[in-house]
Amino acid sequence: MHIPDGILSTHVWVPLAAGGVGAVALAARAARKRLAEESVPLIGLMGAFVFALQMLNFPIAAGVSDHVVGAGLLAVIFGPSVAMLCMAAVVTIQALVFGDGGIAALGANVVNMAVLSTLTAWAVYHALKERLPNVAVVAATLLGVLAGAGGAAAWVMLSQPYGAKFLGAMVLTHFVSGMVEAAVTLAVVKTLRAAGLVPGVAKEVAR
Amino acid sequence: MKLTRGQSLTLLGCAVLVVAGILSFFAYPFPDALEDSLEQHRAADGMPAGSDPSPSPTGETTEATGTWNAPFPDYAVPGVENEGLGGALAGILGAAGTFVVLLLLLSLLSRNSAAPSPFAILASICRCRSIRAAESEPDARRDRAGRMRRGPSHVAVSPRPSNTAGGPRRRPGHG
Repeated sequence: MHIPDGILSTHVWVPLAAGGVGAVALAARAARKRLAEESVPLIGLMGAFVFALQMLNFPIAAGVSDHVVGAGLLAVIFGPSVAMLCMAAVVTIQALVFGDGGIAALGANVVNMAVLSTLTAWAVYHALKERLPNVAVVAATLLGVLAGAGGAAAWVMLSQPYGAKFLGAMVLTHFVSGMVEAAVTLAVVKTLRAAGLVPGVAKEVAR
Repeated sequence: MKLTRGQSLTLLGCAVLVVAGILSFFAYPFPDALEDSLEQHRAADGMPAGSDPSPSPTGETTEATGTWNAPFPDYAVPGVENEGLGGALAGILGAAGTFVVLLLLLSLLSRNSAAPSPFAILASICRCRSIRAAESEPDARRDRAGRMRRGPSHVAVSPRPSNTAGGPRRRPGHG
């Protein structure tokens, strides 16, 4: 879901870069209030895990692949601010070190994957977790992926003369990959809870 | 069998290495959904797939090349011919880099450090320059504002009580 350089217009990527920087700064401020030092190693490992997972492109159609975003996973286990910081770190390293996603488009990619995906996933999870804990994880991940893809489609369509067909293709393909990611996320969250690395839903609600 | 937290974290670290270093060999080597959608619309515009995009009608697009050269473009390691091996190496490097970056970033952000941890020590190594400056002038330790002015601004984001910082105090002349 990484927008390369050469796609976005200047009047699209400049505001998005500013928005991305602002959002990450706000996330850092919010994370600072609730971050306990003993949880730092787990957060670092989960960020690395999301980086690794993003390398595993899987087929969603003949000749078309996609990869997980990881925003849903991080938002469910760490909450929005820490998840935003992790996603921003992953996306930035991908762009600067591996050329995955453009440099000018970095702000747009941070906004899509670290802000839109993460906040949508967290909001959905937060709304559903008490009544339907498993459905909450699945719905949060899927809607998070779709929010990020919708953002990417919007920025591209504001820059290029692509119409509804482009949006349709983006939503359809990311619905498929979002369903795969939802299953992966649910499995990982259950494993982490079983291992006692993250609190279960009951404990989380009580907090 | 119940694992300790340390054992669980070690297992998670192993899982990261397995995903980045082994499972990445089996990644489906075709463009992802966004790239594919972009390619198809370029083709529909009458441009050959893979060529530069059409200039935007609403403004200039950014240059596709020349702004920045990533050291490992497309998860390939220069000098490693085998694509799968290069991808695995790049994956391990990237995952390790993400871990270190987040560790440093979050250690600097986290305030309630009850006990010294390796991560506080890592953070304090980054801060040791400002600490050394502070220790060479006894007054400066009390004068936090003065210390922050002297220290490198990017590591002095979180002034905190010196006893809870957790890292070993570096004496001048050591390290």
